Amino acid sequence: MKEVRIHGRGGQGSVTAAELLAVAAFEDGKFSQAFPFFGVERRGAPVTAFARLSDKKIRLRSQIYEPDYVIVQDATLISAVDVTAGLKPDGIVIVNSEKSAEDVGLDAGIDVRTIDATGIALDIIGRPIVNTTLLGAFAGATGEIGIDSIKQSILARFPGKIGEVNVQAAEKAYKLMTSAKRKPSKKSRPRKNGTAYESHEKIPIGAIGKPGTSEVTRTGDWRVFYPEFDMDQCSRCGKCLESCPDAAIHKRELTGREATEALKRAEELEKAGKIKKAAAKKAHILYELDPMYCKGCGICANECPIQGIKMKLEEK
Amino acid sequence: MIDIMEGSHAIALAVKAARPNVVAAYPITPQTHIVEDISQLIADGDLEAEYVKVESEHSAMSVCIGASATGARTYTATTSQGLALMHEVLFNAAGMRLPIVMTVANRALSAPLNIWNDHQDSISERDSGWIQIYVEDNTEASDLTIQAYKIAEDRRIQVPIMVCMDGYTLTHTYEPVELLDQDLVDDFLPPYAPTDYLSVDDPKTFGMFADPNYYTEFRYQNHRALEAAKTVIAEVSREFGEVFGRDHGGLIEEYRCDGAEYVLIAMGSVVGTLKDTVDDLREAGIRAGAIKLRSYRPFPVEDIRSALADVQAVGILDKNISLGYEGALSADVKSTLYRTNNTPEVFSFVAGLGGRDIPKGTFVKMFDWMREDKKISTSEFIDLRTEILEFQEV
Repeated sequence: MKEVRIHGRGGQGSVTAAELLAVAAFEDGKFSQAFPFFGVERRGAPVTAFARLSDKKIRLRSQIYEPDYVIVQDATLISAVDVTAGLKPDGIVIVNSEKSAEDVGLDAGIDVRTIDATGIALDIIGRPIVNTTLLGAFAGATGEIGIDSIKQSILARFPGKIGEVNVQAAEKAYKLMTSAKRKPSKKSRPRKNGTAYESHEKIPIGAIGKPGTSEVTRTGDWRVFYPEFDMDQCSRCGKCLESCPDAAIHKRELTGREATEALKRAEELEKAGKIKKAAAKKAHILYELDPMYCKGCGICANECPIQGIKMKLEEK
Repeated sequence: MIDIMEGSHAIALAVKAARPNVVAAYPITPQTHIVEDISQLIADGDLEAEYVKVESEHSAMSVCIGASATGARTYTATTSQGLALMHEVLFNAAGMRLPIVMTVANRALSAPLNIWNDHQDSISERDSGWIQIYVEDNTEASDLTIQAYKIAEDRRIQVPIMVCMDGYTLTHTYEPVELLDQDLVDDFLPPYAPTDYLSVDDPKTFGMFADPNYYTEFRYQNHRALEAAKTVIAEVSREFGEVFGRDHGGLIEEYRCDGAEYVLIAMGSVVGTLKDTVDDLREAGIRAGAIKLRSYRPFPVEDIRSALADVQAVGILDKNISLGYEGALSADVKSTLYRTNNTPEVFSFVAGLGGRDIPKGTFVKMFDWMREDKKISTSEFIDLRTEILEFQEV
């Protein structure tokens, strides 16, 4: 039996990846199993999904502590989660990153394969959904599943155009991976006993404690895209601020001399035909992004009535 | 001081003496007189408390939870379908460790529709994390209401509690009741002063999210609190006895169990009839005894083992049935006796369902059964009218 652990963030399709993997293995004539473990069910929060592939019926239902393979959908997780915990000797870790295997922050001696799945997905699919791309990479790197079965599995789940572009992305990753060199690791990684217990603080009677607050959750770490505001077009309607689920857009109003100068400058630009009148009249009002909390969901861009917000790929 | 009154009124007066801050209840027979009397006391200015009229029992318990979390002393009462409707919030009250006191005027559950007494309603909430104490008469019901606050609010446990009194048999029965002296109650039961409570100046969350890394530990802590409640219940009962001169016993009351060969265990008001039956049998030379089981949760494992150490046979009366198995009390007593020395023969009886009366003769039948060592099925229904039964034999 081979065991696969997939680390991703909510909304990145980790669970779907595990399911597609299990379906593909089944297409290959194997017994397989896929299941998720959800933490907080929230877009961007760390998620783990599991898959098992075997020649025999699988009865085991525990989570996977000693994986043969690990897929990391988001390289920013490496600093937050022990993604290689319990990895078997000769185990392979596939990381979505444009960096080289040496530079993703995993110990030397681990067989790391990197692939710029985000780049491939953006290029072919047009969205940074990397799960199918990584499945192609998995087939190429491990040889556990044929690429044809991966294709079938994707097309069965996503018929039509969406399935086709996802298949193309998977194939591209497959080809890139089969040409990658293998760097064998000698020993297994220390495993974690059961679920990871990060805190050993005493628990309160009656589960009474301080109320939770999004202030302590730096959702900015989850960002792949960031919104860019075109303030020359912006009418300051405030729809972006209202629609932001993480209150990461702040309104700031200049006063006194600062305001006078901003308005004066804007008036000149307006006369020169460089900015809109509505924008010029409210040039002293600014909308600013809080990078600590903007997770790049793109709701603001979607809501902006003048399409004045563009989502840009973050350089990491 | 002693006065004659309806059981429900005695409870209303006991609640008044406990000085609750918030009462929330929805009327349902046979609990109605209790909450009517309390609302009258509040309306007349005799009890200074907020009475919250709600649209269901689910809301009544929810109001008690919210009020209790702010540090208020709270009270509610219900029965049967009303208690069943509270089911999910009962677990919240227990998990948040809120010391709510509730009178359950025990009544059967539908279908078929039945408004009369048995214990199916509270027994069905056995696992909710509430203490359940069953009372024999209206003085005990009244006294226990005061004790209940002291038990529930004990910092060592912080667990909600049900005072289970038989519907009609106690709630609607006029009998003399020993009244509670307000000054003594005030000394015995100081105002509720929790360390954790909701306040806008110091926001807190109650019953917060616990993922698989934590949930088991919260449940374990809650379980240990219920176990520790055994000590607290006995302590509070003794202390009450010292102050008020009336001790209703701890987790169980043994009645003429010394040298008894045959002992019957029962809960609630029927225990009075059982004691009279035991007296009759003793007079006739039969070594009978009785155990009144007061605390059903926590279950008095040690007390039962020691009380039954030398008896030949024990019978258990269940005014409930776990359909497809047996009466709940029987199952618990049997598992308590597992691997004890000199384990007695165990006889499980189901009787008194949906208000079916239990006269002394019914108890005599049970003792006869035990004395003749008749083999019986898992739970023997006593006084079953076999002539009206219709069902398909398989």
